[in-house]
Amino acid sequence: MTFPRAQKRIGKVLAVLGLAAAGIVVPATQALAIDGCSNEGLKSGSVDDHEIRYTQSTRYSREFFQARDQWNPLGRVKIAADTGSTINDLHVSDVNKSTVTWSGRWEASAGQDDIYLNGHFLAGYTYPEVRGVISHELGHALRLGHFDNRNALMHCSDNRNVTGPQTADVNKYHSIWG
Amino acid sequence: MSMAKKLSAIGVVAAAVAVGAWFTVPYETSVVHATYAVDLDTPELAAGWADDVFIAAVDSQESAERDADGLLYTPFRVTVTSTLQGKAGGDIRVVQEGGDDPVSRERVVFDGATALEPGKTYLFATRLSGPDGWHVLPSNFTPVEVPGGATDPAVSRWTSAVTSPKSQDTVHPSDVEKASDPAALYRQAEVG
Repeated sequence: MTFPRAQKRIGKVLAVLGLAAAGIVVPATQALAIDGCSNEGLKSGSVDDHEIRYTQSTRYSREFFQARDQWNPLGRVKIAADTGSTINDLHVSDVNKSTVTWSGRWEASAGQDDIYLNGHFLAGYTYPEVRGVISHELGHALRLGHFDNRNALMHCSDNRNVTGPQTADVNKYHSIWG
Repeated sequence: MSMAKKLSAIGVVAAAVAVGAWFTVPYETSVVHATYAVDLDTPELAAGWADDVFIAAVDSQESAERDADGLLYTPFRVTVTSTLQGKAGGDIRVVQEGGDDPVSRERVVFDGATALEPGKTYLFATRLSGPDGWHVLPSNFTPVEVPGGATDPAVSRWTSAVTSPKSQDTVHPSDVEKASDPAALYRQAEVG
């Protein structure tokens, strides 16, 4: 049974409100990130009780399903569509922006997390390249950080050499999830 | 005062306290992990992507805003003192991706991005988003602080770079390049 992360966050906010009302100062959470293509440690992810429940409204749904199916066989975290009886952890959607330089991004936020896919770049990518971008973002949802290794899916730039999880990615996955 | 009025008054005060309390809630930090399609690591690469390369003094920071897609940006009012490439000039708004959303209490942070500081002068490489009324400083571009303005030693490399920009396969035409009237886009992004 999934314990809804959103409920946990709502509880946290209510607790903070109570403390604030009582005049107790609570320090803000500090940024966790380090830079670019350095080898990053574990990240927060979208996993709830070994599941990621998703909704998607992307034109790249076929590539998304294939990316999902690259991670699911690893067996420790189930990436599956949200249903009426589950809590949505992740939403996948598209933008079309020529003013930014990213092709995809994963972002944690209150409630559900988000993956944004930038059609400005993906429109010119091959099918495997699009799948690679989505698989990379799902890697973040699985708590994987970036690797300074162009032969890893979790390299931070699209000029990586691979379009699916490689040994380094799989090893990191298992170090996190067993 | 009738009981109904008293209850209404109590309700209004309670709502005001609740709203006020909400704005004391600490920001919850969300770190964005972006996958970059465009490399901006050298002046030549940045000039090959940007509409505008310019030097500007940061006057002030404004409250973060979301665009039509719901993505958060932090605007800064800047005064352009020198333009190396493009048409940016005068008082304009430059935005960095991410920021503090005062309503949702989210602090959206891009991994590795350097925040601008009011009072300092930087060299910027940006693309123009006319409809949003701002020039976008992408999260993988590190603003170059140039205390000496156009005469700063760091600028000479950029002066050279804008004359020999380097293209990348993933760089596609900007809105400015595609516009029939680019000047109109620039006018949309002017302050005031």
